Amino acid sequence: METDADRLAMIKSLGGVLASVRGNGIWGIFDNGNIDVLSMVESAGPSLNCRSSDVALVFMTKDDEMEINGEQYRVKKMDPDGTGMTMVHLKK
Amino acid sequence: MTHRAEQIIDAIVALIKAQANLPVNAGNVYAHRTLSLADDQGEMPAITVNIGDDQPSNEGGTDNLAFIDSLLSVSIVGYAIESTEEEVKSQLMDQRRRVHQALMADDSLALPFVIATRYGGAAAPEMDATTERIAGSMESRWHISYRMNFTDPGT
Repeated sequence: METDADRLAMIKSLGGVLASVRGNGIWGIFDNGNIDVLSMVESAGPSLNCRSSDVALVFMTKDDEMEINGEQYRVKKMDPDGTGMTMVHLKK
Repeated sequence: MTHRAEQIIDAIVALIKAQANLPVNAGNVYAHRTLSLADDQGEMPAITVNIGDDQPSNEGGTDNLAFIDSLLSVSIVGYAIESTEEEVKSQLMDQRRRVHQALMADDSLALPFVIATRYGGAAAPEMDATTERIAGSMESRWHISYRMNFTDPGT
């Protein structure tokens, strides 16, 4: 069974970045790629895929400021996947 | 010569493109668009004109031995992407207004075989805020009564 430590190792092995939120650093996989919404519109959607435990540890909430690679983002939405990881949708 | 239903779609696209004060570039008015609209490639805002159900006026499918009258449903969907929800909805409502003006200026759509064009209602706007900006869409529905040749729907 995958542990939280396994998830952290996986994030780092996949090129994860250290994001800063509420003065804390959390590891996650950052994606600034385009996504489709409304089944038709392709638009830029930055996101950070990180451990759910880290999200809880830093008390992350909507509109929190996050710094990734020197860029500033705001938390738009958090989607836990039920397996220990959370997709944090961001906006600039 | 294409099917008259397709000629109607093409005519609607042309009318919308020519509509004054359309808040969409003429090049972003599409018929049957299935590929996604890329915000970073200037394809937004956009309007798509989509063919819907086509029902004969006569349940038997014929009106006489020469022609068939049919009712074509057309779905016209506007897409907008802005920084705020209010801006998206305002854009969508403006698009909807201009589409209405384009279609109802001449309810024959400048086609000799179109009998009438009627407004068929509109859906509530759909919004999505998962991207960097907020995207929205709104559908308006139109019903076009037209006549086609009994043996060749292109004439």
